[in-house]
Amino acid sequence: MEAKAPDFHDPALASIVETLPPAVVDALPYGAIRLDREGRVTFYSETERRLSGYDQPTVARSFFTEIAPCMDNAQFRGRIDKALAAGTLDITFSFVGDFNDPDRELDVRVQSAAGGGCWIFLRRL
Amino acid sequence: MALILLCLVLSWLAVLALLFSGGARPSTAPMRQAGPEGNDNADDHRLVSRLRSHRLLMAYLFWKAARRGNRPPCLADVQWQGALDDPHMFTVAVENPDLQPPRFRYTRIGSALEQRLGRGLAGLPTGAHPGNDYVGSLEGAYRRCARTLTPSYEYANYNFGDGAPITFERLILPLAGMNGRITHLIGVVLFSEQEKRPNGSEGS
Repeated sequence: MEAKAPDFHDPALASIVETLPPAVVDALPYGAIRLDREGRVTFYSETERRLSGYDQPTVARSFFTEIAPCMDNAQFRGRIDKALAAGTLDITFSFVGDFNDPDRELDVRVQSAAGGGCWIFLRRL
Repeated sequence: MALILLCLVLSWLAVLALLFSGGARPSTAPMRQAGPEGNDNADDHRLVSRLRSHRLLMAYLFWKAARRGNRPPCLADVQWQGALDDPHMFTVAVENPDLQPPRFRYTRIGSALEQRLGRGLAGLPTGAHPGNDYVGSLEGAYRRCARTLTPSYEYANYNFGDGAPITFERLILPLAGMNGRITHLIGVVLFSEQEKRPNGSEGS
């Protein structure tokens, strides 16, 4: 029986995804990228590869200045770092401008990953 | 309180009904021609459906009503009814738009935004206080506005696990000169914070 894909807004999205086989994560209707503590990509889903049009993820851009708006200040940077270290980070934001479509709107979700690092989920609207 | 809320909801519904009633109903807003891609209404609907705050919706509707055909309004078009006096609103002038990145200078910033920052910004270039930017980077929004001549909207929800989540919304509305180039950006920035302080009280 085919498992139902976890909802993009599920509070425990990252935890649920981590229980799924890679092939199932590959087939989710939204993209999934996992970064380790050092920011290296350890998982890049097939959906994300297909929808972004890129074989390699382009997530190295500055999170604060280019992606997450209005968070380029000491207060938020410190709290994001702490939350990442504590494994409690959960950020959702809209973003306009896909890699191959500057007008594409995306919902982006960043959640702490088990054992450090984080998951980035990208849903095209 | 409930009556006020009901009136507010009804007024929103009335505004939305006007917005989506098409050309059959007379409107005080300037007639809007179809966009170059012919999907103006679809874009309109998509943006309106994503706005979560009535402040942003009202700002957008004022901006939309002031447009000149497909062209964004100019600064003089929106300097009425105290529309730019909102405490959560700021205005920047676009300086040297051909530069990469372009430069912006605050011409007005609302009291709520200044209070959050703890200093006045009017007359200063954006980015004058790096590391303390609550208005956010404008470069990407400017590029989108200049390319599409439409607003740019962003939403974010931050949950750090150390208190209540913080929700952020920003709407950037372009203003154009007579030559059609973007001269100013109006921004509406809202934070919703009900963060618990260590003593259990709430603050923002």
